[in-house]
Amino acid sequence: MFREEQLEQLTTPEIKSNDTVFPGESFFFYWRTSPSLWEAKLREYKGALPIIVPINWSLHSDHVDQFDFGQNKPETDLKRLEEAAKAVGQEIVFAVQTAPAPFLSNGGLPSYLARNLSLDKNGVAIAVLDDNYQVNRIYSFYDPRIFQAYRKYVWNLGQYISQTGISSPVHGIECFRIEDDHMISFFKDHSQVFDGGFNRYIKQLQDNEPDKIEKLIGKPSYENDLKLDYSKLIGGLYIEALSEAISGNYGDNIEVCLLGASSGDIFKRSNEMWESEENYYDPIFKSIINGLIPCSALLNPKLKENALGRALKDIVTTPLIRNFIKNEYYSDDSSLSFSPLSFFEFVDGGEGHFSFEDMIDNSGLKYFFEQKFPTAYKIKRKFSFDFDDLDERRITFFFGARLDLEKFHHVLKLFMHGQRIFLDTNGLDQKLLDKLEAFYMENSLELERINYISPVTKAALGEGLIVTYNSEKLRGASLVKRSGFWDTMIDYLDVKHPSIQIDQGIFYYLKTRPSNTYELNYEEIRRFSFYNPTSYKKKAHIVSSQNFAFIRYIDMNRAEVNSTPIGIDIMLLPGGSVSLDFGFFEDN
Amino acid sequence: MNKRDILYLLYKFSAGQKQEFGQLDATYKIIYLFNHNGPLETSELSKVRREDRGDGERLEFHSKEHLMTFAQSVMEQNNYSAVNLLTATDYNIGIESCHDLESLRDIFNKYGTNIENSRPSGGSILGRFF
Repeated sequence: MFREEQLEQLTTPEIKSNDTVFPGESFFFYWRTSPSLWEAKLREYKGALPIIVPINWSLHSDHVDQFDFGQNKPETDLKRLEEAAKAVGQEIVFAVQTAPAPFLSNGGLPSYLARNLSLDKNGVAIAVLDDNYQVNRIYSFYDPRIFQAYRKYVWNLGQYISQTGISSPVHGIECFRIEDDHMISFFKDHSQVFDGGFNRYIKQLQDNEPDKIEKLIGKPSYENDLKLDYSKLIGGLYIEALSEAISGNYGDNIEVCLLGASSGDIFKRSNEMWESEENYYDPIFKSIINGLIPCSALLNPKLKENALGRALKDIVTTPLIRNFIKNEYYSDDSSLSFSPLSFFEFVDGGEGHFSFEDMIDNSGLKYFFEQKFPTAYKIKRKFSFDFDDLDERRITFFFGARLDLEKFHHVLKLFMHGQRIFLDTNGLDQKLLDKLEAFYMENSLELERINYISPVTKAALGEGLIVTYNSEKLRGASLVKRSGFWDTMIDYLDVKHPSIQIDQGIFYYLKTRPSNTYELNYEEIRRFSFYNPTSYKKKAHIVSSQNFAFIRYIDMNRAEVNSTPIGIDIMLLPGGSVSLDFGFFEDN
Repeated sequence: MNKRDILYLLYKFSAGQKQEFGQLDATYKIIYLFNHNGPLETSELSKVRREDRGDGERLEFHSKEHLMTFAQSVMEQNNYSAVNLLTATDYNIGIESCHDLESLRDIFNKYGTNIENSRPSGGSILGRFF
C-alpha cells in the first residue's frame, strides 16, 4: 500500500525558451543575435547548466586561412561573450566541433571547404532540416583538406583563447543521430572520400601491419572492423588537434544526439501532416540510454510548446548535462538532484559496434527491457569501472563475444565486489569458460544449474551474484519465450519498482535522488513523469507497491491524479503532463 | 473516390559482378517510399501482388522495369494520382543546390521520373473484385 502523504504542488519555474538563440536545452547560438544583446539574453536564461556555446567555425573564417575572433566582426568576439556570461552569473562552456555539426549550415564548415557531401549507408547525401526548416548539408570530414584547415582553425582559436585569457572550459562536440535504433555519429561517412582515405590506410597496413591484411584476405567481413579502426583513427586526429591547440582549457568531447536528424527525417519533417511531437520521445529516451545528451536544436519551437517541451525540460537537467559531460551516468550520491533511474547496464566494450545491439536484440533482452523497463537501463560503450564507487543496486550484463582475458578478470572482480552480473557465454573463449569453472571451484562456490531454454548457472558470494546463460540457445526460441525467460530471471533479483500501466501513446520517464533531511523515512525519492502528446484523453496507473509511498504530484498540466487503495490513477488530457514523487523504503 | 496525392519513391541503383556467369547483377533498392502523410503503410504495400513486390521484405528489384511495375502497382492499387521515382544519385545532385523546403520538394519534380495514374479514379464494382 502507498503511504499517502501531503499532496502539494511544487511547480517547476516555467522557462522561456522560444528564443532562437536558445534553440534547444542549454545550447546558446550567439551568432543569432547582436553582441549587444548577449548579456540580456543570458540574464533571462533559466534552464539547465552549464550553457553550451558551440563555436561556429564558418562565422570565424570567411576566407581561406583568415580568422576573425573579434578583430573585425563584433559577433565573433568570444571573450566579450564570456564576460557577458560572467556579468550575469551564468556558467558557460564552449564547444568546438570535432565532427560535422548539423545545426550549422554546411555542418559548420566554412563555405570554401564544403565540397564533398557525406553519404549514408544507402549512398544518400546526409542533410537535415534546422529549426527554421532550412536545409543543412553535411560534408565529409575525411577530406584531408578539411583536416588541414581544421588544424589551422583550432590553432588560431587556441592562440586567441590564451591571449585573451578566456577561462571557460572548451569541449569538443560530436553529434549523433538515430538510424534503425543505432546511434550513428555524423562523422561516419560512406562517400568516395572515405573510401579513398580507407584505401590509403589499407596500403599503409600492408607495409606496417601485414597480419591485418592477411586476416582481411581470409575473412572479407573483417573489412568492417578495419573501417571502424580507420574511422576512429581519423576521428582521434581531430580530437588530438583540438586538445593540443586548446591545452589548458580543453575538456572531453560532449556527445549529443540530435532529434529529427535521422536520414528519413528530412522527408518526414518536410510536411506538417507528418511532423509530430510523438516522433521524438523514443529518440530522447534512446539517447539517454546510450549516454548522449538529447538535443532538440533542430526542432521548430512550435513543436515544443506542449508536452514535448516539458519532457525535455524535465529530462535534460543540470545534473544530467554535468554527468554526461563528465561521462558519468550515475549521479553523485552527495547530490540531492534527480538523475535518470537506471537499474541495468549492458556493457558493450566494443564502443558502439552494430553487432552489440544485434546481440541484445537476438537474446530477447531488448524486447523485454523496452516492454518492462523502457528507460531504466543503460548501454555502456566503454569498458571501464571505478571499483571505489560501485552502485550496489546495479545489475550488469556482459557479453562473452566482447570479453578478452583482461575484461573477463574485471567481470570476476566486480562479482567479488558484490555486484550482480549476467554473463552471456555465447562467443566466450573456451579458455575463459574453463577459467570460470576453475574460479567457481577455487572459491568453493555453490552452483545452481538449471536448463530453461538456455543452460543457466547461478553462483552467489555475499552480495555478489553471477548468472550465466547462452544467448545462442535463446535465439531459437520465440520472442514470447525469450521474454518469459528474462521475466523469470529479473523477477528473481527482486528489483523494487512499482508496476506502471499506460494507455498507448503515453510516454513516461523515471528519475531518482537520495532523500534529504526532511525525508528520512525514505531511502530515496523516485519521480515518475508522464506525457500525453496525442490528441486524445489517456490514462496511466501506478500499481500500489509495499515499498513505495506516494508523496506528491508536481508540474501538473492538463492532468488529474487520484490516489486509490490499489494505486494512483492518472488522467492526461491532450498535451497533458504530470510528475509524481514516491518515497522508497526497504522492508523492516 | 477521388485520387490521392503523389507517391514518392527514392531508390538506389547498384551494380555488382555475378560470380557464376560473369554478368552484371543490377539491384534497385527502395530506400524511402512515402506520401504527404508519412511512410507508406504496410497495408498499402500488401495490396500489391506478391510477384510484383521484388525481393521479399527488402523491396529490391533486379531491373528497372520491375521497379517501375511495382511503383505503378502501388500507385494504382492505392489510388495515388502519380508516382515520382528518384535515384539516390539524382537526389544527391539536387540537394547540392537546395536550401529550404521548397527547393527540397523541387528535387523530386526536377530530377525524378513522374508516372501519372491514367486509370480512372473511383473504379467500378468489378474493380473492387479484380
